[in-house]
Amino acid sequence: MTKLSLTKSKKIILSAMLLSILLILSRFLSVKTPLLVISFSFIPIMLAAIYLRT
Amino acid sequence: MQDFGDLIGAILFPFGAYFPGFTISAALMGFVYGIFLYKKPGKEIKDFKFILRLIISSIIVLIGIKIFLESVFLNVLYGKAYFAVVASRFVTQLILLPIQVIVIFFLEKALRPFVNKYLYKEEKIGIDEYLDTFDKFTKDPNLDAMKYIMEKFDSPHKKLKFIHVAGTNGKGSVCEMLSNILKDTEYKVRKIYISTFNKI
Repeated sequence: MTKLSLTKSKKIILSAMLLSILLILSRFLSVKTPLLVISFSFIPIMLAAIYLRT
Repeated sequence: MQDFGDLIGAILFPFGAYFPGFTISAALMGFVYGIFLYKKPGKEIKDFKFILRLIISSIIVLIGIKIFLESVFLNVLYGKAYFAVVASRFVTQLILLPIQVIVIFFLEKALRPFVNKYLYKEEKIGIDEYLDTFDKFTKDPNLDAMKYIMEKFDSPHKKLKFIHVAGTNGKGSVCEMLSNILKDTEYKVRKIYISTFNKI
């Protein structure tokens, strides 16, 4: 009888990876105009929600 | 996670003024997504359900946080000129929403084999914990399987000329009601019942 689970260290590593992706996407790879910002920063945010709940 | 992202991002690579309100709204955004999108390790979610969750969470984030909360913050920041900012934000978010749903749906699907292979770890568990992994109630109980097999047997249950009442409570009442209903139509009703336990 086995169960799939995420170990704590993997959680930390994954969140660090997603955080770095988030920073790059939101700060460098985004189109900025004075009024609106178009970026793909939602990708790491939603992936973090799917895998880590936060 | 997003709140950290906003904080660290603002410290490391600032553009414009840093405002703590956006950190709060980012944290709330992560909270909403977490409630709707979280997948337990090893648990499958149907595609349709997942898309529905994506859409609902995106709409909640769009209306509740991006428009309502951030317009309040923008009001604090820009003063009275915030309405133009809100309107332009609303339009971009509205365009981004379907893109967001589609991208995340396919990305999650593409990442699934890698996630199962590298991220999750199989863990040995005891019998108690194993039994706890089952859901208490299965998805809505219905007669579809029984109907299917009866159709394969040429529906013998539809040829029967009697009514079978079975169950725990309420058999007697149902029989009484049925017999009265049938008596009022042209049917003859004969009652057979057990008066005492000894004789029939």
